[in-house]
Order: sequence, then structure tokens, then C-alpha cells
Amino acid sequence: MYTELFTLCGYEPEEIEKETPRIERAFEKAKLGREDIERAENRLREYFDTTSFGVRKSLKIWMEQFIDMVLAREEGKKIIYPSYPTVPDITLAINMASEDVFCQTPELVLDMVMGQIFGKIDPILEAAEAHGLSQGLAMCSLNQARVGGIIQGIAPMPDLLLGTGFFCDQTPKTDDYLHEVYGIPMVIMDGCMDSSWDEFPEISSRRVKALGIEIRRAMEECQDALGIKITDELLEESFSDFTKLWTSLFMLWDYMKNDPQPMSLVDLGPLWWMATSPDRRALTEGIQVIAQLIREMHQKVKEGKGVVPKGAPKVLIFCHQATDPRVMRMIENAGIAVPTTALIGVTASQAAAFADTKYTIWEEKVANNMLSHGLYHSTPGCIHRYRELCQTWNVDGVLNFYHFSCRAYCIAPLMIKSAIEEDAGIPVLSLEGDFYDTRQYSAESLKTRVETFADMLTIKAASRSG
Amino acid sequence: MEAMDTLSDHLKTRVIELKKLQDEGRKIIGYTPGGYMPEELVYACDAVPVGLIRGGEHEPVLYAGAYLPRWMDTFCRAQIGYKMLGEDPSYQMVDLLAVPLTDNNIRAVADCWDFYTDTEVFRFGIPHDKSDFAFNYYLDGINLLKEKLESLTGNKMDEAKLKEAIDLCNRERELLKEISLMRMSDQSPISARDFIDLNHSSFLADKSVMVEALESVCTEMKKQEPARSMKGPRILLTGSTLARGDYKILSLIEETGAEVVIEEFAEGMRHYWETVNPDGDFMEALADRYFKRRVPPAWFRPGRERLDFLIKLAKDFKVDGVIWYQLMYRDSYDFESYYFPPMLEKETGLHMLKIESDYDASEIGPFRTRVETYIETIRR
Repeated sequence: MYTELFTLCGYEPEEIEKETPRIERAFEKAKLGREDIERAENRLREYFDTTSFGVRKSLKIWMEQFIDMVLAREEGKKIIYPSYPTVPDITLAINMASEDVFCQTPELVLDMVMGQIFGKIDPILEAAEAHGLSQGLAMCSLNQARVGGIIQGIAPMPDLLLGTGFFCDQTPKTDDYLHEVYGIPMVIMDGCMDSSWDEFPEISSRRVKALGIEIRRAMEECQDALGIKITDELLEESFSDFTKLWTSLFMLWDYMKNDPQPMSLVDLGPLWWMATSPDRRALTEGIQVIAQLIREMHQKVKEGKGVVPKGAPKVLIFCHQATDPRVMRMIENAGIAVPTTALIGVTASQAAAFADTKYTIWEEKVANNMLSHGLYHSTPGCIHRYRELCQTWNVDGVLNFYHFSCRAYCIAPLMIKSAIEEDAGIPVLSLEGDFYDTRQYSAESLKTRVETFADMLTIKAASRSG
Repeated sequence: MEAMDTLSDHLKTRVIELKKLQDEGRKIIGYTPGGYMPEELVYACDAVPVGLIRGGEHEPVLYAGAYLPRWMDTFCRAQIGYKMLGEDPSYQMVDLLAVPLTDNNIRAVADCWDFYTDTEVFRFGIPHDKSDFAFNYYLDGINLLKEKLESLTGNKMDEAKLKEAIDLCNRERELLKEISLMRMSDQSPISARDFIDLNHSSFLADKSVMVEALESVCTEMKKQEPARSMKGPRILLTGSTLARGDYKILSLIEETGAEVVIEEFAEGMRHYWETVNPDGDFMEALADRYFKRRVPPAWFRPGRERLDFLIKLAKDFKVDGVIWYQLMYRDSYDFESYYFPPMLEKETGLHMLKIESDYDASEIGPFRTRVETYIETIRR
């Protein structure tokens, strides 16, 4: 029953055989049956490039994460759930400190596997909605997945919640909810986005130091709660490994600058999400998959193969849909190349911050790197990032598909539209959507506006070329 | 009451007075009314604070849609709308908008004012727990605000001026508290509408005039014989924001014969339970009052302190019911409105009604039905 699905997900026959008892137990807990497996097989064939060895292996990483997560309690692991956005360095360091700890963001695991692969995220969201995170009230569907997954028992009850409050305030309140209702201990890394409007790309040391202190405190509380030891050497090692992971991911992404665009963002999505919340597997299997995909991309570029026609108008998008590959496929089918998102890539101002030697202790380096991204710094930081990426990727437009319930990002979309259109003369479509739930924002419901935007970009490009 | 009429007259001409003061060189400091802005600093710099607390109207909320997606808090969208509409002089005349940054909804106000207008905005962060580090971060923030105000006004803040401002603001808080506590009585000497009106006035009125008015109200209330007649259920009204002008819920409650005897809101209502301790370092004393001892809003985590406080208020004021009035998309309150009712029921046996508003006139009918039904169920 599992062979076809797991083969599509890059498992070798002997791995499937060996893992079958765990797969069966995990699928039973997640209430995944034959019908779900058939749906998953169809979705993978239709929306992912399963001819690509690298793509299949990247899906495998998530399938492994999913099984590990569902079985973590019965396999005797200590469980810690970082929330999104994570401080990936911490996730990685905790994972490196002990093999007896399961440290992963459950909402991402659920979105990637129950959403992208099985197309069965809705019951998880509905479970959260029935327990206070109502639909239609701008409750983030990512937080709904966190709560719904725990309520449904797919994500086992954790020993500790590791939340972040330096960007989104709903995420830590979700953890506060879980703390109040289920008594789960929590640690929150707090922060205030209180920089002055004109500060970025400078980053005040006040904010770096404050976030650094919160990161260090959280790390210490995690150690106490989980009974693990995270040495400074381990932290430096994880910092270095994390840098290596992202460097290789950026090397891969550079191939997306080719015309025609060689691969779909749908196929690279699993790797990107993996890197935002990395564990041991990301450093081993993840880096191998990236190397494999670099070879495949190289070949595609050599052969002139692409997912959209050569010369297709190129757009920057904010972020790709995490639970439903149909949204991104719909955009590509409209004839638009989407080589990257605003969350990927090192901008010049980021590179300058990375090179800054002002901060020498681990947590301050991590804080400085995170804030230099722009998004976590401020709205001007976010606008600045868009400006830099539009230039770097030489895009014809910005498809600002934004997550309507993101409390932190929802401030920026209309400002980005105004700033990019006025300053850079690049057209921007501000498209309200949901990154983790397509019940209200399906590919079909977004299609008309995307197609019109694609037509406009094509006409503009044609008139430019004379 | 005569004092309230005097205060009302003062507020009618307040904007003209503010304009005169501005023309004479005084700076007008607007601020978001979440209870974390120490007005004392503004007075000590010889500037004038103005709390931006207007709300309850739908037009500015709709108008804000041109600048911000609709999925943010109603009151915050209104603050953007009032500024952009350009019709309310008190929003147009501010020389500096000081924003204690509590959550992303408030950040949206600061960012929109910064991006779309020429008004200067000063942000200082409000951490979301009460650790020593958080206290120091807040203290650092208000020290930065102090520097900003000094540079904007050109007036150095000295200890004597700050002490004078603390004393004046403390007196206002003491009087509001004294009046509020009189509402514990079975025959509250002041209606909810009048008390809220007094509280809201304190964000706009000249502080000396305000204190004088409160003194008179207090004296009049003590003399008042017999007290007002109260027959209906006693209500605790709580939620995210109760803005000046957002009186729909109060009217509906009053129409049923019930009476609000105590309110607890994160924004819009001045917090009066604690005073600043004027001993020792004044800046630390301000941080102690405004951050450490103030009952935090729902965006704190853990948020239990406020819920425990609500239960205490429900008991102290002997209420018969709790109405949770929150604005759309203020998500922190949505979370708490799910798990607070069982806590409330366990501790007090009371039930809670939740109402959510987007300042839309079309809400009145459904609200009336819900409020009337609720009051009927709790009526003694």
C-alpha cells in the first residue's frame, strides 16, 4: 500500500520495508488511509516534478520528519515545538545537542505533509477553529495548524513550547493559549519592533542586544527543561553549519536566474521550508539533496529546459503557498516566471551585516543576522529588502501575494506597492491570500487577477521590445 | 453635575486653545492611548499631551482601507483613517506622535503615519512580560522618549518639573479611582456613561482643569442624597478598546435597564488603579507604575494577571454579568475570550457575553438582540 507513495517521496525499496511498521503506526495516528494515499500519489505526480531525484529526496525529508513527529512520544523522545518564525540556529543547536529530543515546528511538518502531499490539512484547521481559533477573525492558519495538530493528536503533546514574539504577536499568544488550556510549559523569545522609521539598513545595537539576551535566556530555559547541555562550542558549530546550509541553498537558487526558469518554486519549496527550521537531517540529507538539485539544474540550463517559456515575464513573490502546490502552479500556468521569493536570498545590506564584526558572541551574531533580513526589523526594512531584490533579480513585476492574517506583515503590502511602483517603476499586484489554507483563497479564486497581471506584464514587455 | 458641564465647555474649545498654545511655541504630543505613555514627561517638557482616543465611527475605518489591509484592529484602522481624512484638528495638529509599541496593530498606526504623512513618529517598545530585563527595556524606552521630547521642545526636563507633573497626574488618577470605587455601592452615585466620559476627557483636557473638575465631581457625589436608583443587573464591561465616541454598547446595555459598574480596557480608558511613587529616581518610578505595576493587556504572555484582575473586579464590584466587548481582529483578546469564561464561571459562577465590533452601524440590531437576551438570563 505504501510502496508507490514512498517511492515518489524518494525512499528506496529497502527503506520502505524497514520503515513500514513505523509508517503504519504514524498513519494510523494521523488517520491516513488508502484513499488519502491515492490522493497523495496523484497530487505528487500532478504538481511536483517527480522525475527529479532531488525533488523526491526533498519530499522524503519531510515525510521522515512527519513520522518522527507523530511517533516522538511513543519512541520516548523529549518533545519541543519551536514556533514560526523560528530562530533556526536554536532549532539546529537543540537537535545537535541530543538525539533524544524531537525539536521541530509541528505546523510546518503538518503543512508540508498533511497539506502539500496529502491535501488533508482542512480537518486540522477545523479542529483549531472548533477550539477558539475561529475562522474569519484573522487567526493565522499556521497557528491553527499548530493547535489543531495537537488537538487531533497528530502532533503529540510537547514537553515545551518555544515561541517567538519578536515579529508576530499571534504566535506567542497561541502558545499562551496552549499553556493556559493544556498546561504546556512555554518559553517565549520576546522583542519589540521599535526602531525609528529611517534606521534600516543600520540596526541599533539596542535591538540586537535585546534579541540576543532573549535568545540566550530561551536557550538556557530549554536546557533546563529538557535536561540537555548546549555548549558554546556546539552553538558556534551550529552557527557555522547553518551558514553552510544556506550558502549551498543560495548556490542552488542562483540557477533560477536563468531564462527559461529551470525549475518550479513548488519543487524547491520543501527545501526552503526545511532550511527555515533545520534539524540534523537538514545538515546531512538536506545538503546532499541540494547538491543533487544543483546537478539537475545545471543539466536543465544546459538543455534550455524550463517550467515557463523563455522570455516569460519574471516576478518576485512574497512567499509561496505552503500547503497547496496548486497556487504556484496556477501562477506559472498564467505564463509568469517566479524564480524567487522575498524571503530568499542575501541582499547587499544583509551581506554587510553578516560581515560586521561588531558582534562576537553567538546570540548577538544570530540576532544581528536575523534583523538584517529586513522583515524582522521593521516595515522600512521590509520595503528596503523588496527594493534590493527587485534590482538583484531584475524582475518585471512584484506579485505581492500576502498572508492576510499575518499580523506582522499585513502592515506592509500597500506601502510596498506604493514604494516599488513609485521608486522603481515596477508594477505590483497586491494579492490577498493565505499561505497555509486554501479554503477561502484557492488557486481558482486567485486566477483571474493573476492572469490579468500576467497579460499586463506581457504587453508591457512586448511594447518595450518594440 | 455642574462640574461636568464646566468640563464639557472646556472640551468644546480645547482644540482652539491647543492651536493657540501651539502658535505660542508649545509642542503638541499625540499618543496612542494604551496606558504605557507617561504623560508626566510631556508636561515636564512644557509640551501638551493629547491622547488619540476617538473611535466608534465606521467611515475612518473604511477610509483606512486605502492604506492598510482590513485585517487589523478596528480602533487602529480608525486612527489611520482620522489622520488621513484630515477632518479632526486634534489629529492634524500633533507635532510628534509618541507610540508605545504594544503590538502589531499599534505598529500599523505608527507605520502608516510615518509612511503616508509628514508627522514625526517616535516609537518605544513595550515588552510582553514583566521580567527585570523587560522592565529595563521599558525604562530605557522612556529615557529615549525623554531625550526626544527635550530635543523637540528645547526644554530640559528638571526634577522639580517632573515631580510637579507626577503629582498632578497622580492626583488625577487618585480622583478617578475614588469615583470608581464609589461605584461599588449598591446605588452607584454616577452612571457608567458619565464616568467613562470623565475618563475619556482626561486624555484631552488641560490637566489642571481636569483635576479641578474631578475634585468637584467627587465632592458633589459625596453630597448627593439620595443616590441614583439602580435596579438592573450590574455589569463588568471589558475588552480591548473603548474609544471616545464608541458608546453603542453602553447605550444597548443601558436600554435593557442593566448598568455597567466597572470597566477594564487595554486602550481608550485611562488606568487609574496605581499611582507613581514619587520617592527615589523618577524615571524608575514611572517605569514601575506604567510597566511593572500596571495590569497588563491581553498581548502579554502569560496573560493571566489581567484575567485574575478581572475576576477580582467582578467580585469586588459585585457584578451579575461580564460583557466582553472587543474590536475586530484584535486577536490576543480572541484567544483569551475562549479560555476566560470557564475560569470566570469557576471563580464567580458568572457567565460572559462576547461582542465584537467593527464600528459598523449595521451591528446595532444583532448586538441589541444578544445584549437583551444576555441581560434577561442574568436579571435577578
